[in-house]
Amino acid sequence: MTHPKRVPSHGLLCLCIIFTTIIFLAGCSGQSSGLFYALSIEEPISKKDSGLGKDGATYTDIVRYNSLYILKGSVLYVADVPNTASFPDSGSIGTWKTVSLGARLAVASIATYNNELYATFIGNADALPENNTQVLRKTSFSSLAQAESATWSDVSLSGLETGQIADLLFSANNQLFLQSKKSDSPNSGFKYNLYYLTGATWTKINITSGQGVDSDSFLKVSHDGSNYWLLKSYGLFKNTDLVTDFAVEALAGSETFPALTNMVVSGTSVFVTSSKNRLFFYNATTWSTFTIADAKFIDIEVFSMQDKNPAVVGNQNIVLASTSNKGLFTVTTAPSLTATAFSREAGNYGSTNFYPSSTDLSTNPDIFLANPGGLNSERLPAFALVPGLGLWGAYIKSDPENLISPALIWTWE
Amino acid sequence: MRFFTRIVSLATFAIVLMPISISSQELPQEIDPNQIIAPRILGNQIFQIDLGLLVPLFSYSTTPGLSESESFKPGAGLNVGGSGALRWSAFLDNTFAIGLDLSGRLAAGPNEGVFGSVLVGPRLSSFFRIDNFQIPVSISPGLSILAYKELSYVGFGLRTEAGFFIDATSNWSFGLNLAYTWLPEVYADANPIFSQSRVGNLLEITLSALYSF
Repeated sequence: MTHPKRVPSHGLLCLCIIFTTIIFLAGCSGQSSGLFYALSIEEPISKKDSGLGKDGATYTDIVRYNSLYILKGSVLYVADVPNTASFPDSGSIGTWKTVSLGARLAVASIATYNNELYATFIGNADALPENNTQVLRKTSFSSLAQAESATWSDVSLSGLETGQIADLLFSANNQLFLQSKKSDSPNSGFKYNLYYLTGATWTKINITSGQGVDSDSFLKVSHDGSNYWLLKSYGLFKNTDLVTDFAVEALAGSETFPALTNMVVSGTSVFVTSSKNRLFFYNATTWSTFTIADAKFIDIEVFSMQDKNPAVVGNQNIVLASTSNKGLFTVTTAPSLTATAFSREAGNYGSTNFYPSSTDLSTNPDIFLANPGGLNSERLPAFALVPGLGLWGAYIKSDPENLISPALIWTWE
Repeated sequence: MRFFTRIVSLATFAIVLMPISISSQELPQEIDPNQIIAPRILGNQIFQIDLGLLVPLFSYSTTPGLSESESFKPGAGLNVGGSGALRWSAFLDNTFAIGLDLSGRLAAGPNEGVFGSVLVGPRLSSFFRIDNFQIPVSISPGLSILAYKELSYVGFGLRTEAGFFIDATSNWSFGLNLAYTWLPEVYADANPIFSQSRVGNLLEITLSALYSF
């Protein structure tokens, strides 16, 4: 039996072609990044077996103490700073060890001063009230083992006003600063004072009358070689010494409540971030203001890019953390800081939003940046501390095709 | 690489359309008594299910001025994943069939993100038959839905494939299917910008079951 052959309908083919054309022209997407493009730039994130918790882990500060890193979570961790001559090509940050706190419950803040590690603690074995804090110090230690086992000794709180309790520590210009707080009864909240340590006594720092807001806590203390800078969300204060009153600094384009969030000093330059989408830049003479829409900056750090790439000697790459889902921004200070130089961080962060993929900065608004290695020629990592996602190290990736902007590659420590 | 893609596309079109040219010559066809499945006539249908591996080949950009490392990404940034498809077709004669194709694929990105793709559209097929073997060659242009993390894209996709089946019973055939999926992701100007346009190229190797009725 045979079946007659049939020629397929040209109408059907025409329908297919029309259908295909409509779909081709209707391609659409509702986001700011191409999908295959994002996949093409995403780099695998290394997940180290470092002894640190990762998923669910929250760390809030990291400082360098001699050849050690001290990391603050609810307790303290310590690890060796890697060999700067070979890092990161070979060698790495060693395994993190837990520092004994004795019977104390939790660490509130840490700072290094006079070659000693200081920390404020909340609560102790005597079941003191939660707000009864202590300032303790570990005397000089130089190895991991010593850091783990060294005992803590009490630091006098002599000099604090009546009712003031220890809160947070800062250090700058080899001075130790202590923020104290006192309940602002009958109002809710606290009133904050700032002290610096002179011998065994804390001396109060004053701000010109009417310029400070007592209920606004101090966010950072820095020194640029000539001036001390005190940062509050309501304003920035400057003075050349700690004895006379600090005066408010007029930021260009600022307003009554500038919502300042963080500050970094690099040489004589000062950078101040605002959650109102602004970066204030001080070049030792005048202030400039840069605004990026929908980039609520909460932290800033300066990364040295030299050594790995001769083309950028003297340049400083600034990384800004933003609470918007735009993530991290970078800007280079050389030849000059201009608004057009801002770009979204192009390292593996840019497409991964910090692993795991289900979490991004919009749900992690308090990312902290830290550069305990300092701005020297060392090739040490800078860090990002992401609530619930642990500690991330940023390393400079040498890119021969892109000499001007070597990318930061993030590794989950 | 664009040249390679064009060659693949042209070859597939040629193979698919060749039987149309042949059929227009009204060649007579005899029933082979050794064939388990009788020659198809108008109205015969098939249903096919595929399951197997997705092998990402590469993605590339058509934007001028990009370096090779920027425009060409081996493996499209994806790991080997899985692929599956459901197809229905109705025969117009013993060789040519037209139907619908629904295929999907999943693959992990460099980290934890998962890439997903669905392609749905018409399917044009030519079935070459030798004894109890079938060699279908198909092309399926259609609606492509891509997703990766929070990113998504709806547009055009094209799937070309060739299979090799052994007839097992009067209804069932089993075999291997090889598909080349071309997924353009094209942007006009801003958000995302044109330079982020890419074309994904994926290979799928699947085990297939084909039901004739």
